[in-house]
Amino acid sequence: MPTIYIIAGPPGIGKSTNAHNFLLQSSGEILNHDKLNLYYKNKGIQNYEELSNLKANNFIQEQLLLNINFGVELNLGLESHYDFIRYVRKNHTNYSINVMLFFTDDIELCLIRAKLREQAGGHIVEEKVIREMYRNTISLLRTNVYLINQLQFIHVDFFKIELVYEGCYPKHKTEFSSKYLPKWVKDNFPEIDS
Amino acid sequence: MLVEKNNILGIATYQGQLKKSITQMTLKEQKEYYISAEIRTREYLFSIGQPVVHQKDGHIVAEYSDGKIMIIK
Repeated sequence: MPTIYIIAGPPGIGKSTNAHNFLLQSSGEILNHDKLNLYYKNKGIQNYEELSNLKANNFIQEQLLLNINFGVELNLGLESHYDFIRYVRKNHTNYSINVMLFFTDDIELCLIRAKLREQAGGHIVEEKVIREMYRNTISLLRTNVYLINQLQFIHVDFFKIELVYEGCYPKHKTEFSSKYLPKWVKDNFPEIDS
Repeated sequence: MLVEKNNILGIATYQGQLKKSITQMTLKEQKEYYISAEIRTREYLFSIGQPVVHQKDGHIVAEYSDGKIMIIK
């Protein structure tokens, strides 16, 4: 069964920087839409967002047609972000959906990193958007967890970044659980035991 | 709109590094892997002109590739 990897988490959490360290080599190509946007923007293309969306959609359709593993980065901080997962659920029922969520108990981490990234010429995300997505991410995941086959939680703080949970959903079958679970997991996923 | 050959692989895609899942590693292997991942992350961030953000002596600091350390908070 082919798998789609959704690399999720609020802006600034470090999805693009760290996801490759937590993905198997067999996971296929993972699309970084922000990098695609920046690539066309730096080439001086006026409608760079339009072209980037077109290319991203083509990439996704190609992978789905080829029936192979692949991944996309999606914040999953807005309800609309789940539209893609619903589309796959409805139209490509052979695919398994694996959500790898990067999250933290300290929103400051996201705000600081996003600001530094912007200063270094990376893409810009407004602070209020980061706050909104941070606030929404977990509750939206709980609401939509029935759409997902596999969940992986990556805890991020200023000292470390590590896998703290892996399991099958929505039936919840734990395959791996860290001895010390972070607050955001304990508070929002009480069914997960350390 | 400018349309070019549809090939974004490598431009805006990346691949996983793991040969075996972290969950299948021994604790020793996990520890070693996280250290190597941290090194890769530092190299990647420095290569794109971004600092590594971490906590040092009670402060949140940004560490740059030239060794400069800026206190953020």
